[in-house]
Amino acid sequence: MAVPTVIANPLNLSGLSLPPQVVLLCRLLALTLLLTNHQAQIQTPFLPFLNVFDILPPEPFQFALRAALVIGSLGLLFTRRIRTFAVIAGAAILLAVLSSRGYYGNNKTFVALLLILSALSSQYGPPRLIHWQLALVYFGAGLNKVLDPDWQSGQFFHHWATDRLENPVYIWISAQLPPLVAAKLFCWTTIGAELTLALLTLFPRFHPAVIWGSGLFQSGLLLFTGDPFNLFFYSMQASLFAFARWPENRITVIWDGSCGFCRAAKELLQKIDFDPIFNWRPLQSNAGDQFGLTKDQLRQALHAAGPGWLLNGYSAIRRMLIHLPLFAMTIVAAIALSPGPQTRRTIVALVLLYLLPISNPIGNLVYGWIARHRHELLAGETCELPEKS
Amino acid sequence: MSDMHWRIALGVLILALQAFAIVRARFVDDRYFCWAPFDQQTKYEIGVMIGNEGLAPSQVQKRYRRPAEGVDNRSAHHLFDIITRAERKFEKWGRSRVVVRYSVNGHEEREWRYPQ
Repeated sequence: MAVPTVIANPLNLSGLSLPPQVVLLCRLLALTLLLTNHQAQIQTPFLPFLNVFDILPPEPFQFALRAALVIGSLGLLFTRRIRTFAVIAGAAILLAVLSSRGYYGNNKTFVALLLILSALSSQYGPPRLIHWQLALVYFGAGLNKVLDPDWQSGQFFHHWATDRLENPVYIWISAQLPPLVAAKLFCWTTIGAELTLALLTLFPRFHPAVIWGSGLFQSGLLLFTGDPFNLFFYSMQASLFAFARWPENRITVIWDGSCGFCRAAKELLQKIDFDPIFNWRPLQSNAGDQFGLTKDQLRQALHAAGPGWLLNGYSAIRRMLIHLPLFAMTIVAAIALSPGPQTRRTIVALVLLYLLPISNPIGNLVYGWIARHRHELLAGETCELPEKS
Repeated sequence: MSDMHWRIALGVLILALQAFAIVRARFVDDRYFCWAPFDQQTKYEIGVMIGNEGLAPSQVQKRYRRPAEGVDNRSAHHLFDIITRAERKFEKWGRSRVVVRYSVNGHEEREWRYPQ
């Protein structure tokens, strides 16, 4: 039976009406909304920001918003109508925010605006509306803090970390220094980071710095508190995909076509690469010539080449996984379904360790061992074949 | 204008409204929509008297959709704004007296009253 063309595989990002990275952003938000059962937080109108909501029948209005949010989220994940369902889900949250001061929150407003601005973005070119949105968030947050006497003096952080969070690391650091010095340092680092990120988002050449800077900043906040602050952590991290330079052409992956283990690994990755984004070429096909790589180099490790980069071994595998939507979706699902703050902290810490160069020594060691023993790991070595033209 | 131009114009309008809200927040107490998340820690306790009768915490929660006591990660003025608006709405069913004892960022406790 033919699958209707409107139905989509949630792990397929290409060929849709928005750039792949914006589709991924929307789908990560949709997944978060569903897994955190966010629709249950939507209230009946209560002291709305616009009086019009007071004249609507409360329960039917609440039901309509909840239904729209669930339908919008499911539509984002399982259909090709990304723009339509981004507007539906985004509008549902925005209307819920505007209709209730009880529901109002920065994190919800941010998710709503991300979805709506995604829907308004161009199919081609960078999603500048989302870049400007993040710039506004960081600028507003930084400006508010820099003008607040409790942030200038460190009082906010000291009270928060000591009395509210009872964070042992901060309490220890603070005890080693004169009063409020550590707190002042944390406050001004936060202010500096937010205002710097606001500026960097506006310049495309600094976007890799925005991805790393904002990603680490938000991860640090979660590691410190253990709290995703409702939708805040997920939405801030998902928004960074709008800054990623997604490959226009497929990523070339050069692998050892004479190795059974490599073939099994390739087939596994191909099964979850639905776009597909990888162009697999055996080293025996002279695929390395265009990158100036010799057969000897290619036999040492797998190589992957994307726009402006060429990586091998562990670094190549890491970069490839980042381009598979399943990777980000699994992380989001694991954090959203975590039973408590410690599990969330552990997951975020492990993901950071994996993504940061700090994991290179161990990663290279493990990769090197596997690469050296790859012919013994799985039966089924093949003879070297030329690449099909 | 083409479809794309309309979309960009709408997107820019949404961003411009937020820029306006950030500027507005410099001149008002209730800083809604100005992207100031988690900038204050407000510990509070709400007491409500209607006539000579005090409301139970569950009644306070129902009245303001906020716990009768707790910590808010945002401006104390959001809480005062909610109480003021709710009380104006409920005024026709009888006048109430509200006292909020609150402390911002660990500073000394203060009181806010409605009606002021």
